[in-house]
Amino acid sequence: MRTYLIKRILQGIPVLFALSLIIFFVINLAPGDPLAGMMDPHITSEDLARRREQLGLNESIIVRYFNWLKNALRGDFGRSMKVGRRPVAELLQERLPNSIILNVAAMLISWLLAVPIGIFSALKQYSLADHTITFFIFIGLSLPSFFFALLAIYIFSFKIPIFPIGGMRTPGAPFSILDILYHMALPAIAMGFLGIASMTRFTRSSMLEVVKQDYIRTARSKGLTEKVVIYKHALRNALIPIVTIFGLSIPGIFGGSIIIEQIFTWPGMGTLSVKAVFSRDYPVIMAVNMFYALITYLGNLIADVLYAVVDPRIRYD
Amino acid sequence: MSRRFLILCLMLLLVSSIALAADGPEYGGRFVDTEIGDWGEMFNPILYEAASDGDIIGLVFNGLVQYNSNLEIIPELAEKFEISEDGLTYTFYLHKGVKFHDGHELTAEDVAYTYTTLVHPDYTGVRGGDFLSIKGARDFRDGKADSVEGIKVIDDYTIQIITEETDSAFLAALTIGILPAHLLKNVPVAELENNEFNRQPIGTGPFTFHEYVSGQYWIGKAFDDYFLGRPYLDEYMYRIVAQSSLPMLFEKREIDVASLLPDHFKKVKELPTVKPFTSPRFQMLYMGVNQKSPKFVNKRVKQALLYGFNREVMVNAIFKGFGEVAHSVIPTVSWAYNGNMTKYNFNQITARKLLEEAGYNKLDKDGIRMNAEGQRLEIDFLCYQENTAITKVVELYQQMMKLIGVEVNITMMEFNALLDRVYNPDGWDFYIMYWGLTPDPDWSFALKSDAAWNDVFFVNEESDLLLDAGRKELDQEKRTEIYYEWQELVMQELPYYPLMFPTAATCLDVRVHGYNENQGPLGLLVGPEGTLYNKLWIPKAEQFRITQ
Amino acid sequence: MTQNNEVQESLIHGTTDKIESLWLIVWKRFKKNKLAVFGAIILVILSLSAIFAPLIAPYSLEEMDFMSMDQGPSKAHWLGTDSLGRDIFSRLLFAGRISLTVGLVAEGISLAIGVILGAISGFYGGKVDTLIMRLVDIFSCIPFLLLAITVVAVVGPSIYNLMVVIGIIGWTGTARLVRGEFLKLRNMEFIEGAKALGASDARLIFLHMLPNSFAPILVTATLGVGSTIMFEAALSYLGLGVQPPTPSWGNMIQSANDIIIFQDKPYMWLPPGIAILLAVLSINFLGDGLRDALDPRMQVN
Repeated sequence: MRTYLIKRILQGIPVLFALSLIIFFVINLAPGDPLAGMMDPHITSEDLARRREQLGLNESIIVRYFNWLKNALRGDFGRSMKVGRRPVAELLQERLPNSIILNVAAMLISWLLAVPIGIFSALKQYSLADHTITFFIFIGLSLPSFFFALLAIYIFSFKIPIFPIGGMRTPGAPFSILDILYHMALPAIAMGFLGIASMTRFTRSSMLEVVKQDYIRTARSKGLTEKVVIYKHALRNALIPIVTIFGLSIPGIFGGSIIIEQIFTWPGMGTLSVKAVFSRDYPVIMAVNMFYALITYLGNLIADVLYAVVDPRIRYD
Repeated sequence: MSRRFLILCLMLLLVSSIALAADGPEYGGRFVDTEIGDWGEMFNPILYEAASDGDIIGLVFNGLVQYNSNLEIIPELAEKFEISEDGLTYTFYLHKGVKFHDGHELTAEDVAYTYTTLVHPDYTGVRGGDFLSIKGARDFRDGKADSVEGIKVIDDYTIQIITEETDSAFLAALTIGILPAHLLKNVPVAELENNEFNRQPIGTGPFTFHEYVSGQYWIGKAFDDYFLGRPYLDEYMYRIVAQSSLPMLFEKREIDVASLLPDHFKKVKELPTVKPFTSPRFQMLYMGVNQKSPKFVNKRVKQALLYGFNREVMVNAIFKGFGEVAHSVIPTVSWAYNGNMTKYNFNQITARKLLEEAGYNKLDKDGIRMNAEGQRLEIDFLCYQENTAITKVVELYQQMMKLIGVEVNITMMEFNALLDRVYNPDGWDFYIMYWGLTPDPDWSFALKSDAAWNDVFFVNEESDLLLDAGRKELDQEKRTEIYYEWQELVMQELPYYPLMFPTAATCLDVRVHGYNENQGPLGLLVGPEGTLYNKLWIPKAEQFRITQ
Repeated sequence: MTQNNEVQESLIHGTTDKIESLWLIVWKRFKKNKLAVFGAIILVILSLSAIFAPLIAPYSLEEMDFMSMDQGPSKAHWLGTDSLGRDIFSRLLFAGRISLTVGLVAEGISLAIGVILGAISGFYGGKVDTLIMRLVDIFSCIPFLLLAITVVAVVGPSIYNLMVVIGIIGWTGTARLVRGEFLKLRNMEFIEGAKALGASDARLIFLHMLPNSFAPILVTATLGVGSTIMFEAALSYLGLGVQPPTPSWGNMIQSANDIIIFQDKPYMWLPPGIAILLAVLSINFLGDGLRDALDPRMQVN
């Protein structure tokens, strides 16, 4: 296990390196630069040329990449070119918690609902309840996320005004956790419900898979009560693949949902990264992407490790 | 105190406040303005780039001069100003007792610091261009001089600016906000952009920079010592909102003012709680016409492709009538607008005739025109994807061109990519975009041969001469003549197809008073005496009405 | 049980004489699944209406009626007209063409890349495997939406570029799956046998191993088409999907983003919304049905 871990972590280094190269070149070869969009009658070509020079945009792309790499390896991701020349690390620090709380809340909602529903649905396979659940799952899987979010706002912020229309804090009110929770409710529910569909489906099939296994039959034939069979034997094994999903959803927690954040004007990583891409804010794009890549890689690793931890049959040597 | 007594008191208070409402401005309350998108977080008048930052800067800072609703430049921090006979020397007499938000008094030094920094060799912004016309500024920037010769502090309240040559656009540049020298003069100019000041600025404006929450909102608090009098409002808020939720926010009375899309405006203006306003604004929707395109060597083709486009339908169908067909690149509201130049009113017959004359007189099997060599008249049109209305304009154009036998191929691009693409003249004929203009009719920034934004490759000596002459001339009547001639030339050569001057559709909550009902193109918050930020007020009885 | 064994046997040995009966069994099982059959029927209807759109549609794609712009549903325009006077019903039919094509082609591309790389990786193992798996790591660590945004910005959002981009980003899952299947198959007796008989690598891969991994690949591919259609809709929301004037279900439903249209003109967004819902729903039903029908462990009764 330990050698496996070390091997995987070491393998991550060239992966991240290759990724930084790809992302840097793709972003920098994209037409336009941070100044191209500034159409303003007061700005002269001389001003623009000076500014490009100052930002180092006139250097060759290879020089720029190695400059970036040199600084990044020292932990310096530079300053944003579009957000007040602020240090990129500071921007991430500001936005990251916002995304995390929203995504964790959404994940909690979807897991807490999806796992019981999925198990229930599996145990009552082919019943009316199972068919109804399956049907709604499929509808949930077939709805574009923005549509669901808009519907949620329309109903619960406007027609029945329980929740605010957007934002993360009541403007001007003192900082309070309750206030944030209140603003978070609707986006978290909208996002959570979208997650329910796939999670329920996953739990259901995982449970069905287990129930069919020989050891469950053996357990039953040994005369154990159905409750013991289900909760002691089946459930535990059915949860194995579900646990690995946790590892795989880690990057989602940090990455932030671009669409949900935009619709609810939630100041998270999603809105930051989209704005950065559209305005060619190179340092921010690089930092966000590299961070995301790192988290994804670690998430995959955690998923594999969790899998081995919960399932003793799997061994990494 | 018994509860009954308390209720009585409250009722009395309520009644008295309602009674007072009729009497005139009342202090207190919070005005909620809206911002779509996000801020660039550079709240420094000489360094900011995003227009949204400019909105906040406008509340926190003052310039020496400002525009009023009649588009005249009037004094602001300067009590008055004089321009010498030769038009080169500007003398500004500052208001006495103007305080920065930290209590420090504004003097001529602050003005000198701000302007000098703009042309400093290490200056890192893009707003210095206009100030290079100050005498000695160029030498200072190039490191050949230690100070700017043309910026002269006479005494604490008098400053003189001398320009190299006469420049009619120069005064407008002095609307830029004045920075507090006492806080910044020791910061190296190259480091200024990294200074905390930019996120906690201190100016002389009616509102102090109170609270900024990234991506959420900004709150300005009334500045008690504002030199033109404390604002009636206690707070001025900008709130980030999604465009799609504006109608809901108006209905819930969570916001006081916003510009709306035509469809939204039609709906929101029916609410009893809002007052609707429309006004022209300094903006133009236009098509850039690639002057290097081989298809446009014959001027008739350029003219035909404008004659064949029914812009009335465009304005009515796509913009629901919120705009007027543009016949010039200078907006109708400008004093320099020439109403008598060649107009390209929709005329398919003229369009077809011009195309025939240009040699495109055969039709292929699809009904597309060909010339004698069998070349089809195919046009490549670049369009950006971020704006659905613009996309519709291009689709409409495509259909209308089909009717006169011209095929239009649309290429959709991202906005930034389009701006990059147009600087390479190969492979495109048209692009479409908006220009946000200034009240001054000068077009040197885009239509002079060597201009920064000349992305249509318009090279015309006569036009250059006229633009230079217009910029050097200070007399408005003479300038008008120059721009009349220039507009006629532009409409003959057609570097742009001006399509439309949009109409701003704004709604304001009825509880707000003190704005300019006869607003000009600069909006509701600018009156004949300049900005009205400190004049806005909300009756006491309604100050609590907006849900918190 | 006997039938089941037969399936298993024919799956393992890939013998031709039993293939027919195999498919018969699969079909029998598939038929039993009502949702899957329903899905298949809906999909056939949607595909036919897309293929024959030019014949069915009452108006052409671009035809603008300047006399009736922004109209609600009427006899002449069943689903009303948009702000340029174009018939929404006709556009919906043409949009189906685009959306289904994008779904199929993009999924086809990612399937092709995924199957080839997954097969090579699983078959040869060793250094090749490590290399390809690192490639999979790299691609799966790239944020999906962000890369799509960037690449579309670089190469331009034409429908072809869009299909390639979605295809290129989505192949890693398929590659992992095929690799896993191949790793399982590699050590099976019949493969060892074929190898001993001197079958070439290509023969082994394409004639023996790939057909035996067919079932899971088919299921993922089917479901992949559905998620691609959804992904295009999500990209459209950000303005990066199929670009006007070409209609797609994704960019048509996007009009719901305007609250006034959402509230007052459901005829503009509801039909494309229902179309996406139906298409993805039936693809999911179909995929699930196929999975069950192709699963040798499942009981017929």
